[in-house]
Amino acid sequence: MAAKKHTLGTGLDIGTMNIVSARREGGDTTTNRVRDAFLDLESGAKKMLKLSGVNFIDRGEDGIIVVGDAAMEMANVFGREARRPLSQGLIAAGEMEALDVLGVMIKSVLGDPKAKGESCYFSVPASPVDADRDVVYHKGVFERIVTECGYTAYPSNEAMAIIYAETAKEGFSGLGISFGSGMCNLALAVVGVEGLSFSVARGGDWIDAGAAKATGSTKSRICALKEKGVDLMAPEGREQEALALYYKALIEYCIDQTAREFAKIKDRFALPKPIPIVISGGTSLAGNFVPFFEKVFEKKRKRFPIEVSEIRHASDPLNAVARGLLIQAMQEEE
Amino acid sequence: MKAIISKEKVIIEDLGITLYPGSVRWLEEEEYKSSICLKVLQKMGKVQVMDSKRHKKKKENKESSNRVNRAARKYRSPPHNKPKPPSSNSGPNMVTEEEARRLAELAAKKAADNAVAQLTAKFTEFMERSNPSPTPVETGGIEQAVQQAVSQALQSAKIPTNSQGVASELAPSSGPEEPIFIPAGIVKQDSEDLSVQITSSKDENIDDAVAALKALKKK
Repeated sequence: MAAKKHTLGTGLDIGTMNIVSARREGGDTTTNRVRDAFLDLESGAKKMLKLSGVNFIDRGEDGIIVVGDAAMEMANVFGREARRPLSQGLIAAGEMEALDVLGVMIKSVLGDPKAKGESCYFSVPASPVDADRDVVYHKGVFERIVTECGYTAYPSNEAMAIIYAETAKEGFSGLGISFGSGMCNLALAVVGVEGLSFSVARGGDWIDAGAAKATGSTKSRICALKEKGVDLMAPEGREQEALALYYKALIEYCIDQTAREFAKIKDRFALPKPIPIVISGGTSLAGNFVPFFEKVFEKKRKRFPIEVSEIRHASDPLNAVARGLLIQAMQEEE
Repeated sequence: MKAIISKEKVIIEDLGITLYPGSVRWLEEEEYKSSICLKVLQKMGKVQVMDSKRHKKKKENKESSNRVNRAARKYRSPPHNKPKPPSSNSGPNMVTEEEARRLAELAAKKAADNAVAQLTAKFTEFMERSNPSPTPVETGGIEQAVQQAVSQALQSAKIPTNSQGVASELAPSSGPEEPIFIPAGIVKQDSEDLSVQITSSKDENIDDAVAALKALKKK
């Protein structure tokens, strides 16, 4: 069987919950995903982990680090919280252990470059408007990791990647929203020109924490309940109702922040025609998220400063950012 | 009577009096005794209190004349246009302007000496605590060092002159010029790859999007 023809260029979405790479192979788009979580265990657990085929990093006398989905599962087994290399979408300075883990994770999802110095566009969140956090260190760390993997690294705005992946038919015009785990990223573009981009330091984790606090539950339980499936239009029980309430608050917050940020640039940025809102991200996978978003948006539409043509879900919400980055990398290689 | 001399602006809360640098304020004995704030300020060396006598009689006369009711005023004899005696002609119990200045300077010097002495004591105590060796600390040298340090600090102290003093003080200390350390060798070339979740899908839109983006960039 003939080997698949590789198209040069790769996209890498570095999220708080998942790290996803996208590559074009033949006529297919292949995505590699790893859960962005780890758990440190004593060396004694090594044998058991080897037998079960779980991903782990051996640190000799310092113990072992279980990585990825297995870390989440093991954390539940041991009654512990899995550690996240990223917090609220960004890596914290001085987190040396997290750096090592990220190095292994990114090397694994990217694989070897298909040509020397192959282009790799990686996602960088915009600066949050509601938190005093800097993306400079974050960008620098991932630029180094991607470069050490043998690629030519290009940092690229996370929400703009959604515009590239999902709005080609509108001439790359729209408002892209990535509802992530650690934060929400938003970008407004007209004809591929970025007019506005920002992030808010709230996301799926904020929903989990809020709903857990409101119901006296735990974050991991609420997260599990959320991932099991919750219908936001018809929540059942106290926990689901709390989840719906926090989802509504997050959507309202994003809409209000967009209006506020747009007010700052409205004199310098013209929108010739209505634009679509494209929603993506793991947090948007909750049942009926888009109708729920529309319902919340309708109440604010009159006062929203941007004329919206439609609100739609990304064709592949979990991989939309990686696909948008892949498009940019492929364009770079051509 | 008590003469209160201050070397800086102080407010005596319980008397409702504000004293300015170098000013002299006269107080009754009872007022002085009743004021706790004044005594505290005196102990702190912020004000100096001196026993003195004043033309009490004259003041009383003045006060009593002030108390004459309005109806009686028109029958009152016109006020004497007594020329105000120059300060240099003050009696032996009066504090002249020069004396007040001298006293204020004296008080200021004393307060500064006190501050240096207190700093020296604190520093010695700190040194003794951090270095519990029996070797005695030479306080004379320390005193000199503290004096030098204080004078240097005062010389180098910058007083904000712009109207946005507070804002400039609150400006972030870190800026884009600040170097960021990113360690090298994060990716270990000999590390084993993790097993990742792989999905593959037919996606014609990507090629179209790449072509559209390329066309857009050419424009």
